[in-house]
Amino acid sequence: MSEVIVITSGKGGVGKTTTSANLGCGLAVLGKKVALVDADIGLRNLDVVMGLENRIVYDLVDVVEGNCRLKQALIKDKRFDGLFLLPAAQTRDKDAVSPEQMQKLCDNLKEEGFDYIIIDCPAGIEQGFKNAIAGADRAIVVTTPEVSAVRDADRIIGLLEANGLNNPTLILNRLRIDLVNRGEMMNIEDVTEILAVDILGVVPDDESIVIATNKGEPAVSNPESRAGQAYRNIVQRIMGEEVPLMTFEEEPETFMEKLKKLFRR
Amino acid sequence: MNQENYVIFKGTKDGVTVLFQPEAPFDIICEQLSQKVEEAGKFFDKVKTSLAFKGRVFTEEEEEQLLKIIAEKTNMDITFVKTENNELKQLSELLEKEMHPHNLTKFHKGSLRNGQKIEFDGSVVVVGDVNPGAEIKATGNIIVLGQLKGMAHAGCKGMTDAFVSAVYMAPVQLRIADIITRFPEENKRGPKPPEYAFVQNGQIFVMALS
Repeated sequence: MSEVIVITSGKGGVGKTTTSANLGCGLAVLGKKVALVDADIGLRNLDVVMGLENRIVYDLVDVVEGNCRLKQALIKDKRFDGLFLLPAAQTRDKDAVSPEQMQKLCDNLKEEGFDYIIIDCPAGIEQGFKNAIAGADRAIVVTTPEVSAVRDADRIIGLLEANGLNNPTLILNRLRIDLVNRGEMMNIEDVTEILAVDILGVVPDDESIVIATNKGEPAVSNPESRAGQAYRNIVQRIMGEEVPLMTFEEEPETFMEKLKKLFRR
Repeated sequence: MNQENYVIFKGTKDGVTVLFQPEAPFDIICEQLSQKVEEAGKFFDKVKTSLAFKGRVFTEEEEEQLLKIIAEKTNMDITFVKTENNELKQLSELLEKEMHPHNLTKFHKGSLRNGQKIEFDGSVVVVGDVNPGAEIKATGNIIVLGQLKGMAHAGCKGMTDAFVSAVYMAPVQLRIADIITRFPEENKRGPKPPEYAFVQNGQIFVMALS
């Protein structure tokens, strides 16, 4: 059984592409066959985040227009077996594809035997968004704990429901627990109260994400990264396992650290 | 005088039906009607009945003229006039009278999200939240059984006695008729009772419902 999941947010820069890359890698690590589809035609960067930019020969628009076969355009990941990327075209724009064509593409990918097909949706609510959600079975909405991002997420959830994608789940990205504790950032309850959807996961703000993204190596494969752990939990939830939400208490100091601090004074 | 019968009276179990010849000129019809009614004279005296005009469509003025003729010549007590063209119209007029805009209510089950809008000629009840960026526009009243955080415009066609009520009132903006207010920021925080906004002396007031 294969499932098409669209990762969307409305607002740009909240971490759709990072989330797509990490979830794709995470699922592949657990032995699933995964296709990552970059629907952000004209502003592609999922390939960069995945470190696969230099392998692109054909892209999504080539497949849709029949310039190549689907298999030719799918790029096999360099680290994980079973992980493939279908990159977006960079020299075209969103109008190069129609929702019907995207739906057909998703059906074809399902026939290829992928367990999960993850679509990285562009920001906005126009053509690109409509294309990205056309073939999706379920949606994951990414937001950050900022008022503007939550507003856009609310709008997106409304549009998803209007298009028959009911009960989307939410990933709250880039949560900064120190700010939340000081009451200067929205907490999980504040966000879920407005959006009224189930929360799929909470990803802490983590500089390892920036480093990993720049290196083209998703953080999910870094066992030391807190964000990577959060993504691993989300992957398990996607596969239907129940994993408790991460606790975000600041790490208590160990006895030795306290001692060291004492001496430093 | 060999005139065709342009007007025929018929008694039915529902009342009196008057059949009119469709092609005849209106003044001849009037003439014949007046003649027939006069001839019948006492027959219609103090009869309580409904009257049905059949066979042709009259304008409102023509209809009035015909009724005037009947009223002048007889003592008929007409309870109801049924005509070819106004049967539906009368019904809808009656309905309309009963259903003054603010007597019609639209019920919306579920929350209104950012970018969603309800516009309605009447009152609106939302069973759910109205999120920031959502809009409700009603010619009547607005009731939100949840949090009102978007924009609500009650009485949008000028009805100043319209009101807005919400379980938790924290709208971005509140409008009643042509009065617009920003909802005070300090009233958008913390727990508070359901509230009720109305217009008095050209200003919007918000009161706790308790």
